[in-house]
Amino acid sequence: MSVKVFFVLIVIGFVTYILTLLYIGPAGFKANFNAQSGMNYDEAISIATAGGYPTTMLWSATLLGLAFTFINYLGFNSSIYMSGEIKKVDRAQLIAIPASVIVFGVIMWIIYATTYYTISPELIGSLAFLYGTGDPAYKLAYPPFFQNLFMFAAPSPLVYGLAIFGFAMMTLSSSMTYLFVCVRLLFAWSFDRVAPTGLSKVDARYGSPYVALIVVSIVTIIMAGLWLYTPWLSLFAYAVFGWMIMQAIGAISGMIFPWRRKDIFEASPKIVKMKVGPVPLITILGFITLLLSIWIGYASISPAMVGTISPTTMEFTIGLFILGIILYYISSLYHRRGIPLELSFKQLPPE
Amino acid sequence: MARTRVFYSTDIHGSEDCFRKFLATGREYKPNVMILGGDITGKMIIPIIAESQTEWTSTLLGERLTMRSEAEVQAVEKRIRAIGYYTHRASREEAEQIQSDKQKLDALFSKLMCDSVSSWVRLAEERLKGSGIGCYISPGNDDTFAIDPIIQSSDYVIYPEGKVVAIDDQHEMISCGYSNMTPWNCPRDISEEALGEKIAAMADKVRNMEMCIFNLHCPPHNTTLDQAPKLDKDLRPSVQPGGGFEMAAAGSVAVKDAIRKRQPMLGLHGHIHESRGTFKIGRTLCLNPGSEYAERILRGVLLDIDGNRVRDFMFTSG
Repeated sequence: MSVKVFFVLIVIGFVTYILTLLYIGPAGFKANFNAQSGMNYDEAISIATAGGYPTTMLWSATLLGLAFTFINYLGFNSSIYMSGEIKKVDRAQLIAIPASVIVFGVIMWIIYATTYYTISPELIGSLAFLYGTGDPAYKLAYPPFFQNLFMFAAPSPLVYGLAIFGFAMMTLSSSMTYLFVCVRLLFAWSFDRVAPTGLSKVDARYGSPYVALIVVSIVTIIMAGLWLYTPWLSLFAYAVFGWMIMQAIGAISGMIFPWRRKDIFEASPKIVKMKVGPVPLITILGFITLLLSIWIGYASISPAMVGTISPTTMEFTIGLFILGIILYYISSLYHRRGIPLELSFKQLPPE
Repeated sequence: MARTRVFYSTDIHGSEDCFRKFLATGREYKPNVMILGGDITGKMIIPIIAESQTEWTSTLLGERLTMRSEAEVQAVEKRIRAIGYYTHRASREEAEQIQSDKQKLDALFSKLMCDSVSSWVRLAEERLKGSGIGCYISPGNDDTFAIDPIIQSSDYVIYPEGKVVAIDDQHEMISCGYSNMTPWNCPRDISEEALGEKIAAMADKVRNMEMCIFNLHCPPHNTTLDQAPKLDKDLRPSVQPGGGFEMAAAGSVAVKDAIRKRQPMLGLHGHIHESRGTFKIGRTLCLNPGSEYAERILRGVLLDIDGNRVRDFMFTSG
């Protein structure tokens, strides 16, 4: 139910945003910006251009910017966490995962196209350039995000509030997805005995993993507090880089899957076993994913994105993977007194 | 008294690969006791049609297969058996005749089931003799009574259904493959009352209930072990708004009452493939390892038992 409520509020926000921009039009926005911002539309563009802002598209900048594009799409495959409960999952997921990317892409394209039409890419890029270089010509008290620039298009605080509230609901609803994913992950680790088994207790009446839910909620509140009141969560600044390490591992697994687990590959549905010539399609897709992961990982920590790399932040990011390995081995050693953890997913030969 | 390591798996529904993996656990997991819970027979026959002297066809999971040599036919038969179906080679006319004659079809099905179980029992004897591992194979509600004498005839595999057996010096086990009524009226579906009586008849003979294992195919009612998709009048899963299945408790009240009243050490259950999990009824730890036989994955649970306690347990997926 809450998902439906969020969806309705988000759609209202998007529609309000798009219609307002189309209504005010480029001329109306320019007039409002000049009158209300303390800056001049044309002057901002000419100062930025004179300062070095490129007025044409640069492939290098665009390819580096793919990191941000990918961040927008993070979570598109989160439905795999509940695959076991999906009816006709092989068909449903094959439709749902690409469809969610396409639908979201279309929505984003409409929003960006409308924004560029009314506000113009030249102004957005120039303001970003001036803000990013700390140019004194930049007079706005906030970054030139399009949600902020939208206030020069909105005819009233109510219209502005409706649109921005919709965007805020998008962030809130996506965080609920990650809460759900984290609870499932913690439950699975506990169920497989890598984490303490008490974490996988399930409420007898509602079937809810209440212990994992409480733990994740407490950790989330603590993290929110740390984010608001301390600089500690800046240690997660290279999260996309870490995500790409994780994705690369998955990509390599996909590449070698037809040979490493030949028995499961042979028993898989037809679509999984498709080949391009002699090469399994899943190997090709894994290879492409690996290349993209390497590029986006690099892009996310390139000088254009993060400036000089912070050794502490990088050590923290890589340290999280090492921590996972350490936790696994601690659990393994603990369970040596009983049933070895390694038996949990040990391959059994059917010979 | 040293701990006894038990491996329990269930609901392999005729999967040749899963049964062979079950036997392999003797070497890989090194248990003292191996228990294969019920529903061990397959659900379907996939015909392999001889179209000509040099061409055979079959349809498996929507995929049409064409074979042009004996080796290819054998490979397909192996694939079919791996996921729990039986195979039968026939001409197109013979296949149509069998399909249209229920008696012939039932007779063929029974023969293929019995041949499979017979080969499994022989294989278990061959692989496990001399290992010192106790091997118990019990039927479930889906299994016909024709397989019982086959298991009983083994001089190694133990048929525990309806009996109190000692799995080691300390622990006894009772086994019941019957379940409460299901929509499919399976061979061993009985009323809750009758199920309760069967369990009670065995439980009354147990010397030390504190160290007893209840190997009951049907899980206890309304727990985390018996949640199955609710079916509509056409036996199709009922889908909730939002896309998820509507779940319902499919387990047995009689089983739950028996466990609640008797309080054995351990309950081992199957029947509901989706409900892998644990549940405590008083002091009794109840486990259902679930089943993924169609993907050729052997789901099970390894346990270390010592005295009146389960010292350690772990779900496995091989």
